[in-house]
Amino acid sequence: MSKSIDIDIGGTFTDCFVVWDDRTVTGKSLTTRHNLSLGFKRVLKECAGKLGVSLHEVLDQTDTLRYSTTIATNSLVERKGPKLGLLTTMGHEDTIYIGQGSQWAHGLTNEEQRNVVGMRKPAPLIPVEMTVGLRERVDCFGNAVIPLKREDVLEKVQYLVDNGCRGFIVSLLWSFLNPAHEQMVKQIIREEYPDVYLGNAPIMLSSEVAPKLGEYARTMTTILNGYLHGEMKEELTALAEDLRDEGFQKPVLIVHNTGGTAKTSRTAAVATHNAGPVAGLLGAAHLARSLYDYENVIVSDMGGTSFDIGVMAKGGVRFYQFDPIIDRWRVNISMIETKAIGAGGGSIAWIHPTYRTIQIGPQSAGSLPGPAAFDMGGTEPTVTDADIVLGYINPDYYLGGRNRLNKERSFAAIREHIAEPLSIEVEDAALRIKRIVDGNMGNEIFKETALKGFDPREFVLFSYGGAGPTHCCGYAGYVGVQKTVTFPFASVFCAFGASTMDVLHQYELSKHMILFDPKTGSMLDDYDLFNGAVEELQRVAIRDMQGEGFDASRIIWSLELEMRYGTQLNSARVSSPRVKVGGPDDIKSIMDMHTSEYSTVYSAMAAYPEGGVEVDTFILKAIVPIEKYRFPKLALEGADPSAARKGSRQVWWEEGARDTPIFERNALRAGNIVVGPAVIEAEDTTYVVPAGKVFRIDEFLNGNIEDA
Amino acid sequence: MGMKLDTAAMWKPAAPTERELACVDLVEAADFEIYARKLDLICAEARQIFVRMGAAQMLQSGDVALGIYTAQGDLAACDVSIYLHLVTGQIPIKYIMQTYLSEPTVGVRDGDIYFVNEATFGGIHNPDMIVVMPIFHEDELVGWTLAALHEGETGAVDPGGMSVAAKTRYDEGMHWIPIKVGENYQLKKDLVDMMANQVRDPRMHTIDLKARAAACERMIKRVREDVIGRKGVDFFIGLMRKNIDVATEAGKAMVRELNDGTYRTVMFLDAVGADYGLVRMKLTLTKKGDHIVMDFSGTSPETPDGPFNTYKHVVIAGSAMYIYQFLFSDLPPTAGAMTPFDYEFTAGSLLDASADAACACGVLTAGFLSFYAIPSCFAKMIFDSRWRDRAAGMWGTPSPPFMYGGLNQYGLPVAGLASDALNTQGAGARQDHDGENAAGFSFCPTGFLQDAEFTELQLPWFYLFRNRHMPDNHGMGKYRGGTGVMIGYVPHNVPWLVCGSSQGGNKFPPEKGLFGGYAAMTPVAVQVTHSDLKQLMAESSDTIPYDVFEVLDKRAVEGDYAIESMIRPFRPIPGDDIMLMPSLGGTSYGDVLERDPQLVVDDLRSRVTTDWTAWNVYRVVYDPETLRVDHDATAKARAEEREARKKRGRPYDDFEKEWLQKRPADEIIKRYGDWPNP
Repeated sequence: MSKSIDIDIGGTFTDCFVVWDDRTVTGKSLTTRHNLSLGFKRVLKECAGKLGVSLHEVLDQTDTLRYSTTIATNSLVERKGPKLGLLTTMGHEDTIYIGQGSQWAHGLTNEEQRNVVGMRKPAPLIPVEMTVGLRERVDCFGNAVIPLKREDVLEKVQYLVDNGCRGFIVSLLWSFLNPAHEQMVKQIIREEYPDVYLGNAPIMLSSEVAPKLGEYARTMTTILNGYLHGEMKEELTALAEDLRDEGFQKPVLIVHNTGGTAKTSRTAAVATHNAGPVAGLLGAAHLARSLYDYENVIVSDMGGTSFDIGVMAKGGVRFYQFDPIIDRWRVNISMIETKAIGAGGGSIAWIHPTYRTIQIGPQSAGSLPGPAAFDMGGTEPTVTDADIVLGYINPDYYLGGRNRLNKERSFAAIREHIAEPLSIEVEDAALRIKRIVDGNMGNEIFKETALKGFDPREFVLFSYGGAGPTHCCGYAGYVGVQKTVTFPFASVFCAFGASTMDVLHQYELSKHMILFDPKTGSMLDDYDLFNGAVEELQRVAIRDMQGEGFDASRIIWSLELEMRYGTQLNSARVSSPRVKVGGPDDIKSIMDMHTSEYSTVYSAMAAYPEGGVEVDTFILKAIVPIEKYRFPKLALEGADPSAARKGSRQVWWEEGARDTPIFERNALRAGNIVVGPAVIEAEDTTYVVPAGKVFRIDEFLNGNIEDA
Repeated sequence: MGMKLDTAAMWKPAAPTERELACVDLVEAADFEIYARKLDLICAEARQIFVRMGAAQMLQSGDVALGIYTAQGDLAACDVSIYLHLVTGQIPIKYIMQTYLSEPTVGVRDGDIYFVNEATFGGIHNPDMIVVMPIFHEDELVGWTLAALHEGETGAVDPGGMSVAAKTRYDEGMHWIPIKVGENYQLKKDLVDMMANQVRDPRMHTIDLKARAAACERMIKRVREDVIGRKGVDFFIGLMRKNIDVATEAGKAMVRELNDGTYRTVMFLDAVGADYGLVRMKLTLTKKGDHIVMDFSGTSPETPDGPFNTYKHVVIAGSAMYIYQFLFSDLPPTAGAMTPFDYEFTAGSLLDASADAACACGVLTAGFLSFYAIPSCFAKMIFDSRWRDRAAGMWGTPSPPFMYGGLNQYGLPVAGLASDALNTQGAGARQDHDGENAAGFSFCPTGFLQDAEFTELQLPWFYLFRNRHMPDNHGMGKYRGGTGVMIGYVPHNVPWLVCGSSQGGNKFPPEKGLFGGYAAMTPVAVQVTHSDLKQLMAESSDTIPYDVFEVLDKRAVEGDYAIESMIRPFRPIPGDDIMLMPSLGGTSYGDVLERDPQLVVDDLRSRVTTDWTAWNVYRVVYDPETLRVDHDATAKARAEEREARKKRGRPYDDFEKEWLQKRPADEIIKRYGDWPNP
């Protein structure tokens, strides 16, 4: 086995999963938003301590270090990005404000889209006055039909600079086909504002960030990248320096939302958006298949700030979005879909001023000040505070006792903000908070799964995240699932998920090519044209892989083509049977594969090769497989869990308060069955098992919750 | 003489069968929640693959309709798509059930593929082509699926499918009543080839026909696997009926809460054919209890020599677009939602034309009614209700389609309708918010503007400008309508292209703003022939125009300027010509003098309005450099304008007396009917 470290920085906690030959250890620490490397190093030290080696030794001997972060998500939600300027083709300045017309519907559910009268387009990331048009034009064959003039660029750039531009986005029509004008703009800006000056600002070209057909998604992808770039760069540069200082000399791999990883210098900021939850989903899919042979799994991740949902159906994570959306923006990257709502341990409970009902979130206390019980200045009641009041969370055993919680603060916050205004008891208020947040999460799971066309009651629920095991029995009830599976490393699951990800780089090149011409009835015979496109992508892939320390001989190549029949506008993604072509049989095999996959995805009835067959885009995947940790399968012992029982305490349930047995999660053995009501404590989470449920430890030491 | 079906009883849900009544009890509340949504999602999935398979511009923009119907032909589930087609789609299904189900030479069997585009048999106008396929479980017919799409070519006298020159139905190309074009999930090649032979773009026609059938096939497959396969056929039948019943009861309950009364509106249209004229459409809406009658008596007679006629089922389906998208936006969009409504027409009128009438542009007439007249009456009704937020200004509809024909840059024949102007209409203003700019297509708000690059890849032109809002082409008010865009087409990489367009509302806007708001501006069309544009482009000249105003005001391009209406007969345009048109803006809500001055300068900043409008319409005073509002000066200017309004006002009796003496020239009202009341 190899040695690897996987870190996931969330809004509240920084999680770590370490594979050390045949051992695994986990660590968890509060996220330090003001300086992320502090929390990062803290959690690494914790893991090193558990392994009994120094931090330096761990980093020196580690083969792979992968890292996922929510910085991009946070920056976008909080609209904290820099003031950007957009240079685009004149006559098309409002591309991002028009947003294909139906921009108002992007990111909304079908039900929300039906409310036509309530439509709202999202507030733009670049205000209209920071968008300028350049006199230039390239046509569909890549010909510059209006040449770009230097004076025009200078005038427009000066305008943007005078108006406070802190970054330039350049997105011109047809630039993916002929990037010369975009490159000229970049060159002119660099000449006028060279790097040596303080006012130097990043320049993002759409032909480099997202070189694909379709100006709206290409421009938005480039804008999002520019919007997130600065903060990401700062964070990752600081992190790499810290790690080098501590002994890690290899490149850090960044987890991408596309399902792969790449080193920092090959990572576009936009690819890190939502990467943690994607890693969690892929990790769950890996476990579902490798340990249990489950076909249908809903994954739910309740952390400190948000609640994330993902779906694995029919054995695969099949929800690559056709037209992916980040926030409310259409982008052109192939990212895996997960859904988040503002419900976590840190979600704040409040009373609606009009209806006098308890509301939860979406505001979160985060890690600073955190829940009232953290005793770091937070005074508003959170879900975690309610869990403490109800006796679920042991304030003396939070994070294994490293963070002592102030129970009185929890009581005071709920009393002041919820119980007294509603004239109810504190425990009753806490129970209502739990009930509402569980209902919110359960309904969201139900809706998301049903929206994908599946009956959620036919799925197994995987629950993870620091607060997941505490609330899963509550929200599972609203979903109607028969079984919930929890994991000993539940609180660091996304970090674990990253450890299951291969090194995968994906490269795309839009290049229009006619494989079968209906006018002449002939197939493509310029094989160099096809192979040249592949080789262009392979060169970049080999450069990147070697830069990450992987020999080119280890790369597994996979070519996908976006193909269509003549007159179609949209293309279908086809796995090419050949990476390169050398004769008519190769071309025919690609066309046959197109018809075959087209018939499967759409319908054999709709296949129309006689109308012409064309290629739009080459997508090359370069994969270096990474060895995954194999969970040992243990012999089942007896059902009696009493050896793990460590006492009892008063706990409030739906049916009232009762003295409830407390168990130690690490002391439970494979085969043990804990009958609810019970509370099971672990270092990093608390399992809450109500009456009528049992908690059964399986042969992989995972906890299965089912009806008694 | 063309065939015309009596559609009077075909658009409302049929009485439930005993089988349905028995099955509906099998559907428990939790299952209904899941599986009603599943039916919608099956349609949504079919829409996604439909869009990805097809070729027509409107298909690529998602302006389509996908639905699931009961065995009797009632709409039971659909995607958020063009409700117009979904409602009229019931008619050919019911016709097939009545006429061909038991007909031994035809019959209905598993895998059958029926095609229809005949307006008098439940179509809209003949470019709207529909495929319906039955859902069988074992040997029982348990439902139907539908996939509909406006095809940009019908083999009419002009390319593009909506010939403004058509004088009778025989000028409009294909008119197919429901016909079986495939069996056993296979299209019949001889019929497909025959259809392709009737149009100018056979590849587009063929691939879109295949796409329709494949979309229906997908819905059948999903229903069988995911609904019938899991819950049984009885459950599926009960589920569809329950989805209809829920909409029926909820719709009636909502109508019951609204104020009883009679609400009236009248609208005038200047489009009758290739030349101008005036016609009138009148709506008297009577609401009592849970029942609403829309009476269109008093509408002008059928136009004998123009294509703006339509049929009553089209108007009814048009009203469904308002009902499903606005009034009942939270109810299941099924046949049940139409239960509270009845309609009355005058036979032989513009809205209930004869079988021989040309109707290629009748969808525009129905569209004006759907988005201007009907919402106007309902706004008055629901303003005093808890649904007042659904009283919204009208969308800029229907925007002028740009139709084309010729060879593309690859030497292949193309003909069709460009959807740029359709999918960038401005939305109507709301009671608390402006309409969204370039919001989409009012008939299908979730459809989308295809990227310029996608279109330029396939079709032989480039956009001199397109992704650019058009200032001031919306209605102005306390909340303004959304603005549309400006489009400049230039033929490219081909020697010439044939093109034209059709649109009403050129001389005056047929719509009104709500509660004191203004209508949107009328469209302006420009053609510059023999221009020096290509030379200017090669020189990267500073005088290349990038919007309509630069073209019209500066005349920077040398050439012959023709300022036209949007009714543009087809003509060849060479590669040095420029064709300009806008998409239309939405109407407004409330008085312009009540508009927040800050919103006015925000509009200036975002290039949606002009200095001229800021002062002359809104009476806002601001610093032209900083755009800072002078609130005191604005308040003073507005107070003065209010006083000026009072001085301009006249007693109503005086106004009416003078107004009744006015009469347009005979040439203008020759298709109007008897003046003043047809």
